[in-house]
Amino acid sequence: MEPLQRITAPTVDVLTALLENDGPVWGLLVVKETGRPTGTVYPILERLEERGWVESSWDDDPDHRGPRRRLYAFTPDGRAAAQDLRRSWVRTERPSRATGATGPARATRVGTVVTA
Amino acid sequence: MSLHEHVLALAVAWSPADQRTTRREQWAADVRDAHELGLRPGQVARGALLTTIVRRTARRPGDGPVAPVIVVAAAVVSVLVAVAFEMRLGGHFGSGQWGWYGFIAVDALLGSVLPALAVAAVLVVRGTRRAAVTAPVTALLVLAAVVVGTAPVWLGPTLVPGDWILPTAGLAAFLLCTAGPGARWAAIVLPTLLSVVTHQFAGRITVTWLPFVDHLPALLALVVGTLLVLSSPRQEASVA
Repeated sequence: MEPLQRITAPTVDVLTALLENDGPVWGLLVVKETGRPTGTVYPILERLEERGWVESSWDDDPDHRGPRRRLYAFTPDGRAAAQDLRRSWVRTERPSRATGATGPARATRVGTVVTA
Repeated sequence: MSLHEHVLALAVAWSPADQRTTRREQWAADVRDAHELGLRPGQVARGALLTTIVRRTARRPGDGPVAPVIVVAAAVVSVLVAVAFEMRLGGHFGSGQWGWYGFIAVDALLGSVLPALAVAAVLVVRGTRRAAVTAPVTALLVLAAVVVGTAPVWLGPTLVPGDWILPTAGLAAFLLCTAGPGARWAAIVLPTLLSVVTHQFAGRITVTWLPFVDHLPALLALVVGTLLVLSSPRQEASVA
């Protein structure tokens, strides 16, 4: 697994969304849960996969005919690294873009470890 | 096909060949099922297209900080500002308000030199040829931009070079500094062809718009050149 060269708030949001789900997660669900645009989330997922943090697979649910959904799940090393990374970010509660209601916490900046 | 399906098809077509199959199926499923999550299919399709652009232009080790699309977009804006400048101040040769030399200097800077510098920056950072090729080619391009841009001063206003010369030189620079099949060289005729076509219709165009029409070959060359760079095989990165 390779370290991430750029760690941005959307990256931490994506990692958080993946951490908060057990097992493989549909890529578009990560979009929904982060409230980030698809044009932000898709490249992050691809970069995480290239660097060995996550791995993707096809959803073979027979209920979904036609094109298959792409699912993402942490590699063992990726999960540990994501947990470490998330601890090093300050997090604040903000309204979600997707729902307009109070949604998932979104990372704000990288920096020192802050504990509540 | 709906608009978002066209956008999705474009995003897939522009993706690297080894990713097209996966992306086509993944994004088609996401567009189909977007409503389940309260998302719009068009939003997904636009995101897919943006992903292709972002990933195509993403920095890699050794690439430096230049994203070709952004830099060339700045060059396009510079050309368009030159067009607006000419349209506002009396066509190709300016008005007395700025003075002859001032007008030519600003026009050359915006319409020729800055775009050439942008092209040079892209090629130096993203070109796939060795520096021994790229450095002199880009230096010659910038020199040509200065010469062509200021030509009205030393050739006289009625003997300015054709507006296809610098765009053709720019495309030649793109072709010389990037690797790819020899058939790419067919693109070199595009600015000239466009220039011929626009001159055929010049008599039917309002004089006010002539500066815009004359810069069309340059805009075409910038777009084609960018596509050549983006489709050119990358240099092997020195660091994983």
